Amino acid sequence: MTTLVFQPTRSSTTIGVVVAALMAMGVVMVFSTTASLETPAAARVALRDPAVKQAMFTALALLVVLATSMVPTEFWRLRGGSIWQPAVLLLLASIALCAVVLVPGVGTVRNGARRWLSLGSSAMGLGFQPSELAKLAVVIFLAAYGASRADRMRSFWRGLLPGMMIVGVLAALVGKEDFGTAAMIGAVGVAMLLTAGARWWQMGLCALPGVAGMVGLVLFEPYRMQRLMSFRNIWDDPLGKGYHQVQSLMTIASGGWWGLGLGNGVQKYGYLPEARTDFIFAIICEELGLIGGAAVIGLFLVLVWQGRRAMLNAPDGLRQLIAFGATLTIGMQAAMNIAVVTVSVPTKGISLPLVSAGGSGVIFLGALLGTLVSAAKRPVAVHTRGED
Amino acid sequence: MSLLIVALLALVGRLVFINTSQGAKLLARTYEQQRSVVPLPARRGLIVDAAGRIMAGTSLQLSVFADPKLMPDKQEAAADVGRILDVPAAELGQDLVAAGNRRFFVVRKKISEDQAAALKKARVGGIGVFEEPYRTYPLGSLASQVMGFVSSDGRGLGGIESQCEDWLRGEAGLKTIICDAGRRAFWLAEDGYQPPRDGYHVVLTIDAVIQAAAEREVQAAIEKYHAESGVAVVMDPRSGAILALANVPTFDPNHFGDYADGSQWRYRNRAITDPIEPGSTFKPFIAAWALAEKATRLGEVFDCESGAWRDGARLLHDHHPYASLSFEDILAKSSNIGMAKIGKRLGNKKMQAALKAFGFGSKSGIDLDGEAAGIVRPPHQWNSFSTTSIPMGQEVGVTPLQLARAFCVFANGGMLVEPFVIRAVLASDGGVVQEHRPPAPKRALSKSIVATMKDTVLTGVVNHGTGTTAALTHYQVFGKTGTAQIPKQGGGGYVPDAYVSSFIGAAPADDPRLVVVVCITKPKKSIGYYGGTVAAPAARQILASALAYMQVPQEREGPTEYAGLTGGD
Repeated sequence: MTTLVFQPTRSSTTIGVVVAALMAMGVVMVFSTTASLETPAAARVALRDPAVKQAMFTALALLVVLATSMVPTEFWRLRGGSIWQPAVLLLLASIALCAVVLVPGVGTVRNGARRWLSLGSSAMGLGFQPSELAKLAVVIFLAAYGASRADRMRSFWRGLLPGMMIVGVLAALVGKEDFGTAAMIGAVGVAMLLTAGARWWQMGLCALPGVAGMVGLVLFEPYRMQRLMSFRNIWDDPLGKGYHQVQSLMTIASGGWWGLGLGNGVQKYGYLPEARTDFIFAIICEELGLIGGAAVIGLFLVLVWQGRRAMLNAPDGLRQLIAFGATLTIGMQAAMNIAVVTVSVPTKGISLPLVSAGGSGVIFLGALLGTLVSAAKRPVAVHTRGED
Repeated sequence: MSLLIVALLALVGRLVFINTSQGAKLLARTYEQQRSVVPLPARRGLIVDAAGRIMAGTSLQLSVFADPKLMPDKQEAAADVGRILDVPAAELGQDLVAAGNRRFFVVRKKISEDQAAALKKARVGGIGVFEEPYRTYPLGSLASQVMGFVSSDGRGLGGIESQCEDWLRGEAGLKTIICDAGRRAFWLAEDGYQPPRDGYHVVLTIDAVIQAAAEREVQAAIEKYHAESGVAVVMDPRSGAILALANVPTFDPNHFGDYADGSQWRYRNRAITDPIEPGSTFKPFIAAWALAEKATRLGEVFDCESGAWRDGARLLHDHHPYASLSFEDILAKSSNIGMAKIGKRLGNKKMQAALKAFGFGSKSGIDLDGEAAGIVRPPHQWNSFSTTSIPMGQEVGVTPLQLARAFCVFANGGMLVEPFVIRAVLASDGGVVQEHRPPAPKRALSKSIVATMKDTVLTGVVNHGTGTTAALTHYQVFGKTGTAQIPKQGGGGYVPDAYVSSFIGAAPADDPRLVVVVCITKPKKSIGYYGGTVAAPAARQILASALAYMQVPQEREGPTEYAGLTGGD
């Protein structure tokens, strides 16, 4: 009889190693960034300690990578119209959670945005952002959708529109509180549909309301406008509106070429806001220098490159689309985060994937990357002689 | 996907751009934000006496400061602090309000350690305790006019403190610390420590023991004769080193602010700043010059006119009338008429040369600020009155220091030395920064004239003249008394019944080790006012205790007459 065995490829192995490296870097940097003048490093063993939490989540995320990398890609393939299929359920669950989090009293507000669902006791400070799940769901579902309807994607009504509606619904739900992630979901969704075979001109028509919606979000939420404005002239008000960006640039510059040395950064002691989450890249540059920052970008480049290889070598549409979507998601998020930290684009609440402190982020990204690793493996038919 | 790769590569470029084109500006801003420069005060150098005893040192005191900006309620803070420091809260509250928005306001200086601990425990917002250096003078008022004092902001005022300010002050260091956003320091910046250079120590020639004896004896004379003030100078005749410079009444530099009520004159080092008309203590210098010029000789007898002599328009008197006196007895008995006749023999020109040779009329060159040159009229202003006035110590103004210096000529074989009080300047590790190098002394008199003056004339004053009260059992003292009237300010005669009683002398006669000048101003005439009565006993006591302290070999056997350092009387 014949069984299908999934052999690791250079891409799948490299991606796995790079993911582990980035996660390890994250734990180390979160530990450094959350250094406290009161608590000596050796005493930082409490479960509440952000670095300990990050280490535990990262360990968990590694297990998730391992587990999802062993789930055959076929698992996600759509067969027929039933909703009782993994990809559909994943999508529906994420839509539901993204909707629930917006309900006051259910979702928890942190840093002025209702993005969190609290889990368990608040003592552990566990929380979970449905938007992270949405990023995973949109890639897996659209890949499954595009692969199952490859022949119909050129059709507007039967191929593109349903896909766009799903992207739109998710982006809108997430965008209410998290503009950056919504923009990313939208961009990844559009790119995946195009890759799946959608026509450019149809997409253009379709994207119009989406673009209009984004402009609307910018105009109706004044803080977004402020962010956009302050980005242009951070030096007009370096202690007020431009503070965050100015501090980020100062943090990067104080590292120079080789950095102050791991743990020697100063900006984390109250100067640079969100140092351990969205702006951890600046701390990496401060402590490990331009060389360290470039190395982190280099790891993401390797990841993107290998993801691209996996896509090009994919034996079928589902794997190709998963490789494309997952790679794009992680690469784009990294690029957007670093662009924000280096004040190349306005501030958005986007973390550095796998590195920034944050539980749900690293776990769901782990799932996405595990799925990518799985898709990058080569299916080989093995003939075995059965006993019967 | 390729776009993504390009974007990531572009971000590496962006990092390079931030570090190169904006790096310096950003780094400067970062340093300004993170670093705080703390001055490290240098410790002011010590002033020590000739034996290394600390006369001025620096200690740390605990003081309370306030940052009124951090106070939620100033009156409440004043109440809390007032309770601990035991000062009225209302007064503190007023101070705090007056301090306005100053970030550092010193509330109280020099609090006790218990109070500091209580304040720290009370944790009053905006109130802190800090250590600050302050100058302390462990020997109190001893030699205070030489020492001077230090203002509350650490600058030397007066005396050695001001004169050696540059040596004593040192150089403050800097500490560059890195702070968190809450301004809590957590580590030192690289190259952030520039240690202070502590001030140099100044070693004086003053010996605290001799100084104390001099101040004690002058004080005793002032008290006994109800005098206004007094000074004493003790000198090493061989080197010119000043061993004591006493100005009584004195002041306590630890509390220099207590003299603001019009007694600031006490700060003045009167022994070097205030010239007096010396009177008879001036006679030996003119007499010696007359010997040197062969205007007279030892044993020559002068007609002393039985106490009154008219010389032209001038009527001269002696305190005690004598029919005739030998040259040496003119000094022993201190005859004005005899000296006037010697002056007439010498003439103005030669007397001018004598004054110059003994250093009168010009600064002695002592290394202390504010020295007076004294008053010696320029030659063209001398007249026939000068010829008889100057030999008896009138018409001139000299400082007690000038008298002491001039008398050293008789005690060191004829040389005019330059007095000094700063023996050396030492670095904080003890290395010598500067050492006093006396200039070569000038010869003022020949050895033989000096020997005659010392062994016959001036010894006679003490052994059977006006200065017998200066005589010591174990040592041969030689010297001269003086009882001078105090001239009215602006000229025109003398203040009635106002005298400066003085004695200049040295011992032991064989090998003189000490020259002493004592001048007591305005003793009460009814109790006593002759130099031999008022000043000579004080000089004797100073010599007795100093010679014993210095363990100068005794010249003669005899019962111990003075208990030495424990204070005989």
